[in-house]
Amino acid sequence: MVRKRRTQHGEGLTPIMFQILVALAEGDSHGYAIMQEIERRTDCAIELGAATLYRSIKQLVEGGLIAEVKPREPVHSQRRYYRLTPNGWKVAASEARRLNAIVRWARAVDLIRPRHV
Amino acid sequence: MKRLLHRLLRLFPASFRDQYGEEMLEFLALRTRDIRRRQGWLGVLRIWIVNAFDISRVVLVERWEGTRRAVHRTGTFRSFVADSWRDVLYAARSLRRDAAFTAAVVLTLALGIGGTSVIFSLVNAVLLRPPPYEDHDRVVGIWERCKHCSGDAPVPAGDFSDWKAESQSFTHMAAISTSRSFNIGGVDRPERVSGVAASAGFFEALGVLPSLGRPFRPQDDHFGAGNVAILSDDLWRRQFGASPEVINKPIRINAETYTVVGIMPPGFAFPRQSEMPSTVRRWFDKMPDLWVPLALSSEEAQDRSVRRFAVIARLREGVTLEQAQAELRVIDRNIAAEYPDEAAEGHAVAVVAIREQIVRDIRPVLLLLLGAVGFVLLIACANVASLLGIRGVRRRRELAVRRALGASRGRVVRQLLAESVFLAWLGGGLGLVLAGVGVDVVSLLSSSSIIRGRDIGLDVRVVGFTLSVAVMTGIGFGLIPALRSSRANVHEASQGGARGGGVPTQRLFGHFVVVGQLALAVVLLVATGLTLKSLIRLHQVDVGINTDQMLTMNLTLPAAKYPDDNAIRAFYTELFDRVAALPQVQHVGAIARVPLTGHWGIGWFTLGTPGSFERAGQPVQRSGPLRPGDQACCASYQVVGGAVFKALGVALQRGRAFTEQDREGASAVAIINEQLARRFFPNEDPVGKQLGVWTDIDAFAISPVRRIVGVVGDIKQADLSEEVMPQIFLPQSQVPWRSLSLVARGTADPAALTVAIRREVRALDAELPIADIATMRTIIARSVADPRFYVVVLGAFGMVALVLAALGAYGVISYLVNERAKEMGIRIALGARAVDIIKLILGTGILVTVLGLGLGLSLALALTRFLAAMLFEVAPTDPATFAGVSVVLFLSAVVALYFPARRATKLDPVTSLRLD
Repeated sequence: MVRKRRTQHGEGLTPIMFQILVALAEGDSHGYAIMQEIERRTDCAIELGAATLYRSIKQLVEGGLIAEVKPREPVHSQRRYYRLTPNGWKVAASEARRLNAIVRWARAVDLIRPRHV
Repeated sequence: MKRLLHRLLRLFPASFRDQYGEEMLEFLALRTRDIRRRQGWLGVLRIWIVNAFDISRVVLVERWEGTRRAVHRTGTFRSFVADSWRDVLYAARSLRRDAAFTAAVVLTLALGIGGTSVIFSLVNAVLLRPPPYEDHDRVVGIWERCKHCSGDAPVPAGDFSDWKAESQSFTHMAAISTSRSFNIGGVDRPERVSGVAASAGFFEALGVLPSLGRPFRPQDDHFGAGNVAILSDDLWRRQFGASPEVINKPIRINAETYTVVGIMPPGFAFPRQSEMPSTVRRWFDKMPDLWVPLALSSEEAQDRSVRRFAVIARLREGVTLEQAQAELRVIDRNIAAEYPDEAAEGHAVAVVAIREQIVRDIRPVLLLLLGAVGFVLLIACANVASLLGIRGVRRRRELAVRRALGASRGRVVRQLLAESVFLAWLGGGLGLVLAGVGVDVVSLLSSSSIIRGRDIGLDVRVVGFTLSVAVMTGIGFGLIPALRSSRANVHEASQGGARGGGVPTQRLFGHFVVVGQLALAVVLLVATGLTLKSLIRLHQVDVGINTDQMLTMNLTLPAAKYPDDNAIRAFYTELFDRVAALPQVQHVGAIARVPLTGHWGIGWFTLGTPGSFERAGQPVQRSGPLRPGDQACCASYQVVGGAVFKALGVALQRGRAFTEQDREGASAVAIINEQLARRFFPNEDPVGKQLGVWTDIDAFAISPVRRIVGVVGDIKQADLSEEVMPQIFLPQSQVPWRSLSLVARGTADPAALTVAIRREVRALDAELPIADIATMRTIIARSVADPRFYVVVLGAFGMVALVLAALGAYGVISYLVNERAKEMGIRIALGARAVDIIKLILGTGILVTVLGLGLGLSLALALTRFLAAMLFEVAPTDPATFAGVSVVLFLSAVVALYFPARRATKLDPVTSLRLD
């Protein structure tokens, strides 16, 4: 209950949840594809287990940040597709801005240097 | 792999599993395929491990959230309390209906919990309660640890003086002498009390100051300073009516005048025996009631030849034990460089925290007892669990109906748990009462060297422990039966009724429980058997004296009244004459230490005549006296007087006993024991040979060269279990000793001699107190108090364990007979004979017993080595004990099994077939 309310406002948003939201911002997708996308985008920095992935999805669904949708074309398997809700967009965007501000700051203090230097 | 995954997935709450289970399976299958292509099988292995951990973690998290949500759902805390209260009331009602069951469970638990509490109260008193000294972490004992032997040795005065002068690690340091006797005179009832001499700083080191008056000042601690004394609270109340006037007033101690400068707070009695290392424990066999300054002369303070002091100190703030020890070792090295001739070779300083000193020896014993009682508690819980299981089966129909009427499984489990916790509380309450009795018994039984008897008690911690054990056992033993019973469904219950067949798991569980119980009982019985055998062995030890009809009592002649050797000699000669004249006395003599009451003096001796001394074949390089550290052999020595060998019943094997001719000025003589004669005069007659004798108490200036006049049989020294050393006896007439124990052999009951002998002592000196009146039998009983204590405690646990395990076997087999009554009925109807039925029932029972026995014996083999230190001449794997225990346990089990088996043969086929 508490967790649900917190998730609705983007609090208690774990890095994994945020990555799922970003992955879904590209378009509707299912669990395995989300995992592959995250792996690809983060250079395999994260080894996402099945249980953690689906628990995060469950929490995001409960928090109303993503919702299950009918797949556009019929699929053969059990897989479920998810889409960002408007609230999900809002939360993901504000989290991205927050992180971006931090990244800018990190760059300003020379924590991140362009690769070619 | 897939099956394993399915099984793992079943761990998730149903809602999560239904929603995501299939997808997770597909996810993992795809993932495995991809990774195998990219990274090969090693990668797959890694992925599976990662996912196994991941799943376990998420399962825990999901389960925990589920529980929290369930608690929220069922409502507020208040309704939870109300529900629980209803559960308890319901439990009480239903248990009252089943009084026999309730009584059995409560009694079983009370025995287990009560026993555990008694032992815990010992652990609490000794291991957990901090020593009663301010900042006790900083209070330390300082010893010299012998490199070649074990144990902490006392310290010579010279070393103490150097440490005290040079070390920076301590705020206070004090030396303590062995306990001494003090005769309190000038009061209505003269009394002999025990006390110690301690140097200034003693009370400050412990951090306990007199509640009245002051501690010793440095100027009190000078040789020749005025006599001052500090009294215990107890002595102050006993002899001086707790009058504060006594401070700075003179009192008579040892016929001298002492000024009382302080009264210690109640309960203070340092050093107690239990607070000292085992090596010097015999020095402090009585609680001190009196403290006087040590007041060493400057010559005594530099002596390094005799180890006669215990040293305690208080660490300066911020200094660790190790730093203090390192500093003292440096000082010691400097001493060694300075006095190469006298330095104690082979000894290293050890600084020991007082708490460690107290618990070091007793810790393994207590942990052992705690283990033993833990076994009893386990057996009790197992019994109760199987009783509850049986009751659960009987109630299966009731529970099924409750579930059919809408009770959730959780609700039923809670109801059943309420019952078992309620039972556990009842058992715990009764257990606490039993513990109260048990603690009294234990404090009576335990000898002072094990535990300070009067410190054992039930305090808040013990009661808290008992109640939490009760609750934990309640939940522990109740949970499995509750979960199992609650699984019943209406269909099954109405089909099978209370006697439903098809419960092989139930039966198997019961059998497992009995196997476990029997195994634990075997371990306890083996431990009991071993300690008992060891005790019997100790009792069989030949003390070397005739213990019948012998009375001993101790006298100490104060120096003020008996200033010189002549006075001492005259007193004892007169006393021997008077006591020997009593009609009920056969022989009378005196000895410095009655055997088995403490360590004898240790002297060292050389063979031959002066100038050609040899020690066991090795020529002596040194001109001065030999020291304890460097001789090849030592001897116990005793000063004896009167017809002591006749009174002790020790046979004179060669030569003669001491006679009146062996007086002062006559040639110095000694009598040796068989051991010395055998070892050092193997092929010759020792009588007439010369012996050089030195003792550890220089004050008595014993003439070193003596002629051996006789050989007597060996006598046990301080302990029944120790080896007899070479012994040397010196005549009291030549070595006048102030403190001697009178040994009288009577014609009848020795206790009856007390009054007559006391009258004779009074006639000689009305002020002289008599101490330690005891018959030799009492002394022997006291010397085996420790092993007897182990036997009684382990034996009590062993018996309880045996009875509980047998009851457990009985219960499970009875239940089996009830379960299979229908089958038995059919068998009987078809012509089975009583023997066949008994065979059938006993067969199962005996298989269970044999399994339990096997498991128990292997456990015992693994565990009894922890007992080794407590055993005397018995191996921890003593085959006879193991065999004996097996027989006892097997027979008990057969008896327990026989009754239900016989009942099965008496079943009436018609009745049993009609059941349900």
